[in-house]
Amino acid sequence: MQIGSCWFDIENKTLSNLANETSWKMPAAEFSVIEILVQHRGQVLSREELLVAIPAELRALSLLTEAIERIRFYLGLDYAGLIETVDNQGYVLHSAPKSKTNNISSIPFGSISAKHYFILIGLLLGLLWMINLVFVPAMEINPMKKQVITSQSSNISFYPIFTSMKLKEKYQPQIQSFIKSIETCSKVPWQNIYLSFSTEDDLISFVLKRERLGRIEIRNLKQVPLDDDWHFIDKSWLTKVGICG
Amino acid sequence: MVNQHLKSMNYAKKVWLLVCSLFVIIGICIGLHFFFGPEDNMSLSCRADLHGKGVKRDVKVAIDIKIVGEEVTLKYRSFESGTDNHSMIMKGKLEKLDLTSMTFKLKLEKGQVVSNLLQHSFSNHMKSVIDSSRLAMANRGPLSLDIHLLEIDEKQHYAIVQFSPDDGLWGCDIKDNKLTF
Repeated sequence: MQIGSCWFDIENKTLSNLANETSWKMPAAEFSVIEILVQHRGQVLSREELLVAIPAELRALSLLTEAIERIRFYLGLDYAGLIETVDNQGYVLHSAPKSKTNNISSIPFGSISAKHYFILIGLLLGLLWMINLVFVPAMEINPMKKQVITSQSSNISFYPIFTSMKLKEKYQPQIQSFIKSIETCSKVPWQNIYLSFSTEDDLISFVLKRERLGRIEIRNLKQVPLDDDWHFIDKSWLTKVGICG
Repeated sequence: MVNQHLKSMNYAKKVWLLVCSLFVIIGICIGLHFFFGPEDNMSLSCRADLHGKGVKRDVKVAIDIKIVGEEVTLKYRSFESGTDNHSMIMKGKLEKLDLTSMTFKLKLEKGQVVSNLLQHSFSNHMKSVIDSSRLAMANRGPLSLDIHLLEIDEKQHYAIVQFSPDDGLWGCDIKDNKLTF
């Protein structure tokens, strides 16, 4: 009779492992246990029922447990599970090994069950969330919005920077006027122009940037507005301050 | 039954061993960061030509910002033909470096004004800057100032920054940068 990869020969009281071609002449206790398990395959047999099958002189719970362990050892790792211990009841011999519990693949410490794995992942995520709260509070980045001004000689990237929409809308006519003035320039020696207005200081800030011979050149201009509508910004002013060439 | 109980105990031990190892590693990383992490250092130097009604031809203004660890020194000065007219030096602390918005949040606690004896009075612009800073400090205590990095290129040694709350925009030379971005 086949038990896993072994052949159980009742007549010769041997258990032969066909995988490694070894044969085990079973002692009395082990033979009695495996015999009764095979006869009641698929049924749970209590410890008392198994003890009754064992010869009287070997009838002890510790010896029964040892016999079961030796049989399991002989069946090998793959088939040791054919003899299942049923808590508080006894033992059962299955026909085929039970499908393995859902173990995550092996790690150096050995495999862990899915439940423990997900607990671990949950703890890790919780830890990351706590670290994020304490060390890195989330804030938004405000990217600069670029406009392209086409002058008579080149295209210039223009960045009007306002910290509020209200301010941006208020100075939109002035910005448009500035752009129109730049477009009339025959030459603009700058590739990037940044503009901002400080209401606190009443000051227009210009940052001019260009690349020359592999190096970046930066120039700052601060202008106290001569009028509220910035009509002073014309071609001659742009040339005077060096924005136009 | 004994075997299954032993097996489940082994699993629990292994999981807790992993979790404890993880906490120990994280604790070591945090400890190393706080005790041996590099200091945040940065020096910015920004110059601008000043134009406007009543502003003399060759007047320039400059901001020099030095951040060493938590200590901040900000020097705002106006100069003409290379000679300093007036300077306002403010000192305080770097409260926070917000990496997500690339903003230095400063708290300026004290300031002083240094004047060239040969200058009779402050220019309008400098007077305005000094007065507003003095008023803010007198009324509200330490002055909160944010420096928002709009653009930074360490290889080319420049940064474009915007100050808040005044919205001033500056292109600056980076003199020293050891920030842990």
